[in-house]
Amino acid sequence: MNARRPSTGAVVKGAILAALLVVAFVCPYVLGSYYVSLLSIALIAAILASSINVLAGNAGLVSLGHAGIAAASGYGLAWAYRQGWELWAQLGMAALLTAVASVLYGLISMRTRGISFLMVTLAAGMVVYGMAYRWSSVTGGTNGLPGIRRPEGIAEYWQFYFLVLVAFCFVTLALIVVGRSSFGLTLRGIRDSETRMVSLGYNVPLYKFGAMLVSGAVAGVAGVLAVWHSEFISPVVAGFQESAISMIMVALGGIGTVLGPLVGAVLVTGFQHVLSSVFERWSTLLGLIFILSVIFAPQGIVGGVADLMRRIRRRGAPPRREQLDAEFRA
Amino acid sequence: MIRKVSAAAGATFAAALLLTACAPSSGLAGDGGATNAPADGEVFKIGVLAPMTSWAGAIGVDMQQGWEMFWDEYGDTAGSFTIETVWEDTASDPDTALTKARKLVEEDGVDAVVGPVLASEGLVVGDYLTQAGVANLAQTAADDLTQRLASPLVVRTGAVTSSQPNFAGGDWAAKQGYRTAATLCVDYAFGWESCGGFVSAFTAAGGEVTTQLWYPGDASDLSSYVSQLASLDVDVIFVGSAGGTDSSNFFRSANDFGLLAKTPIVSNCCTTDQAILQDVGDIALGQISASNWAEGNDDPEVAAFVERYESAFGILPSSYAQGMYASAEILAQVLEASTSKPTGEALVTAIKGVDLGDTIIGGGGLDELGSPVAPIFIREVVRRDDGTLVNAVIETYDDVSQFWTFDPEAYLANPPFTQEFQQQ
Repeated sequence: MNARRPSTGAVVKGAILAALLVVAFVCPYVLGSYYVSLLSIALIAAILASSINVLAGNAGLVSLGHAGIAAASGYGLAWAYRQGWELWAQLGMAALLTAVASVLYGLISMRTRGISFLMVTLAAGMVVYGMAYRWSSVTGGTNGLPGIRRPEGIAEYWQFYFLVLVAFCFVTLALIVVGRSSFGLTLRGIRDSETRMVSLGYNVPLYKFGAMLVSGAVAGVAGVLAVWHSEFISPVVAGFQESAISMIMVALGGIGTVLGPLVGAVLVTGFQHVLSSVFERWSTLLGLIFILSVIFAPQGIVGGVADLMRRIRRRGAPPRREQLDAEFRA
Repeated sequence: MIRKVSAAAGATFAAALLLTACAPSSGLAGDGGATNAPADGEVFKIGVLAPMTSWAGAIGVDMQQGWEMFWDEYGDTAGSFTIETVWEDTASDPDTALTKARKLVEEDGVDAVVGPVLASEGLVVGDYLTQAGVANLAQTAADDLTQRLASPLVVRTGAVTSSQPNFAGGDWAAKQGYRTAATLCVDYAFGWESCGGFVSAFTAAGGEVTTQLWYPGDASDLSSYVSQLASLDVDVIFVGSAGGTDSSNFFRSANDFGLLAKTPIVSNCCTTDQAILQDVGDIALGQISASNWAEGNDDPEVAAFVERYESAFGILPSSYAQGMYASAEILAQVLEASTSKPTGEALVTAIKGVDLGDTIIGGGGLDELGSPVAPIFIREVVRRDDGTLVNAVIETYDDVSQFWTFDPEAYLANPPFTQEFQQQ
């Protein structure tokens, strides 16, 4: 937390981010269309995972229903497109449904935490899934809504990839800002000791409600991008499995880390789409990796690597205050 | 906190793993069916999309067996082309199916795509392949694929529409002198279309449908529906199930409540599927159903196919295996007759010209929207000499169209079948 001289850790982090950005920018020029579209999928998954990460990392609230918010947004866009509405109206409909879903999620979960928060969000997700599945005159039922087209300007796969990349960077930056704001710090206080925050006079449920709105907005972005990518939506995207996979991405990558959702999303997407072509038991392997990560790097891959680097550095230098803080917390 | 979260996520994952990884499957997604090209002969590369994992994994295995059996018998050369197959697993999920279709087209450069089989997968993959200009030999029954969403690049070679066999079922029921009917169908597109087919043809032939019941796709107990049906005073009951545990549960409950003895039942393709017959056993004896496939058909060609399949794999061929075998037959015929490599619309046009009488489908052809005009069999569950229960043919409706006897134009102007719209 040295304001004048950036720490080595910050420099390394910055360098990694810059290198990643350059690589991400160059990808469409060197990779074929299929792999670029896979990267789009991974980035969209990373945005959804980020929306879960902001709750889990800052407020300690693990959601198992966020695919429902993304799906509400996606169905809004898809339905409005099929009604022949203008682009702004389609996006408006997506935003409206995202807001409605987030408010409902927030209202029913704001007074819960831990397992009960998990169960309440899981139930909310199932409600969205049920609506998508049963309200077929609007959602197309199991057959979904096919035939959606991306608007001009992002119709080409590489144009769309750049949009997704920009959206991901924007969302990540915004979530960093939120995490460092007084709002974010209050959430961390709630995560670390809810009773203390209550006795200090904070309106804890209101903060949790606010966090759900922020998180829901990010999930809504992912929902719109997902529909534009597949040009189709079906109830599957609202299902429990989708929420669970996103949660796994976060846990695998590293809860509360900036790059965790991205690392988790790239890894899981790679397993789902690349490894599955050559190895049928890919989901078993993914499970094994996840179990190993929980045992040996409970703070996820990014957390584990950061921990490792910190230990290497600590051999030569006295510990910094932030490290002591981190260890105190753990 | 992090540990707690990880533990919660771990529990979640264990559940997700159970859901995704447990489906049995013997084939390997990567190497199945791929054949090495000999030096001469242009390669015709076919991408197959099948659910090899997750809940529909068993269907994928049937599809692979049907496809590979044909090319094993036929050889891997058709005309001047060497056949090469690339298998991709859709994981029973439409978004994965779409990504895999992209991979087949954009990375593998396939000349045609066969499959997928699930309705939601079929619609989205058909839409993508139409944009990409690649021919799609669809295996799915979703009505709209060759109706309101028909495409010049999609042809249904491995299935008929969901409603198609049940038109014949409805007509047959009316011809037995049944005047009133009740229906019980699964509550999503497949069930609506199954029921819609029966209701439309039954009423067109003078019958009256008095009650329609719908059960959710994940219902594990159908006894409350069965007891309602048992209390009705109707001549016949139509059952349009999804062909999973719902069918077995229906037969068990219907037996317990005395419905099987009380009211005649006509069902859709899948309610008396082989897997169901193996499960419920003798209580299914004598049950009537309508389908484009009957493993107990005594037509010499079909019987020979069934015998070869049974000796190769130890089970009777399902309609999925038959669909893939038929698709391979159709493709081989087209390639035999081609001098230059047929792709895209040209391939679909050539396929639409194939005489289905030369295939395991057993007659008819494909209409201009790309759906089979094919024989539909009214089947009865009988015991074969070796004790196995099979669906034997008791009546054949030749050349049944996806529009039955209705005017295609008026038919297409109507909405697709739903709970609310059941009668053409």
